[in-house]
Amino acid sequence: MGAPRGYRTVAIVVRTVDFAETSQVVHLVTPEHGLVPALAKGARAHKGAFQGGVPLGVLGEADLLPRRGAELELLRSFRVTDGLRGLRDDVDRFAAGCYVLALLRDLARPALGNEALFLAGATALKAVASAPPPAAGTWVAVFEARALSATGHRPHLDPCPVCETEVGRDALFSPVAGGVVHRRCAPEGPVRPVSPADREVLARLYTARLPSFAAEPLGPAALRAARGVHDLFLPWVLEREPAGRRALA
Amino acid sequence: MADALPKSLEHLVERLSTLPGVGRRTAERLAHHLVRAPQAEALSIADAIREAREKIRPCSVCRAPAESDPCPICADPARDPALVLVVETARDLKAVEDSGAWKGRYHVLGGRVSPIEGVGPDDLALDALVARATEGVREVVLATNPDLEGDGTALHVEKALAPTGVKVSRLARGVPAGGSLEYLSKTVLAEALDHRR
Repeated sequence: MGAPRGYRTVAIVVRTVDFAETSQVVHLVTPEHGLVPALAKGARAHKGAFQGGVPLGVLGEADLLPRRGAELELLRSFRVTDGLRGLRDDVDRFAAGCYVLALLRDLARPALGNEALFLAGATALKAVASAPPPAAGTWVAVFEARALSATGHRPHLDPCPVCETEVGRDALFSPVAGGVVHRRCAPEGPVRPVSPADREVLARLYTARLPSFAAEPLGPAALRAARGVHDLFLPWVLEREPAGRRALA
Repeated sequence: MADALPKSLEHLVERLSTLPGVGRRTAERLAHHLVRAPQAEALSIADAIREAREKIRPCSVCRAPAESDPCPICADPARDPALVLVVETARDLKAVEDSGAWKGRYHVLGGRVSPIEGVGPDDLALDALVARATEGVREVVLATNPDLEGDGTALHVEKALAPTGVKVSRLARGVPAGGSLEYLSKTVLAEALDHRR
């Protein structure tokens, strides 16, 4: 059996933990290898391949070497390609960016590539970092929708997944049923009323082309609707409260 | 199957592995060292932990760990009380103090805002800083770390201090003295250009 081969990949740094004197344990989300936990030896030393540490919340190119029998791969170098500096300029952008990073970390799986999830994360982080701060909420909602879709959790919006007939006005969002159901069809468990307007918002979030959100961000009512549904759905999918969600504006 | 480690040694390993940056293997190495070392040497470590825990309290003014209250820096009449430098941790305070360049006082936040780890601004000593700022402070210098969470923390501190009207500044950042432009990262260069003077 030969030695494990190293590889280079684009990556988003979703977590960093200082380790020993100068090293770091970093968690990277990559398109082809999913969530990669890695050890960056001596990363925080002033000299070396990392220039003072691998920063949280950036996009970059990683050079990784899997280590046989070890949980952590070895991060040999990391080059920042987008520092996403806008995330540090405003409290709302900061909260939104941190939430996207946390949800990305929670939804990515080790050794399971998911290009759509990576792209959803990278797109959302770039948009939050560069769009006017009030638009951060829109990009968070878009990311939630695209990330849920990318991981096989896209909710049914119509027809009702229980009876398979068209959903009328009196509809509920049911995480247990996996989407929007008739009130009479709703299984036991948490539910939330969804109006036809709410369903339009959800349909747009899950299907519309991304540039349309830059041209026309969600209004306050649409944001409330999206947030209400995802407040119910994400803890169901993750089996716990998503990290960083409470800090959102 | 017999236990791999005696119960008391396993307990020591488990306790040591709760320390930051210490994984299971390191904890085992430390534990084996402690039980192999001369008894007096090993117990002196336990005594030092006990003594530090009993004597060290946060300074009621700056929140830095100290044996006296106020701490020696806050009690020093030569330090300018109108200048307050805000740091995340006492280790950062020590780094600044070691430079010998700061003649004002400090405020230790006791951490950083980290939504990812569930730490919000309410978990930091922000109220105490705001209260200090209204008592003759001329300038607050934010010396949080220049990374995402450090900058996010600075944003929250600035927001909390805004109603006090006190001047707030940040540490300069960019090209390090003695550095070479050729070897700097894009991010550092971009920040140096943004903060040029």
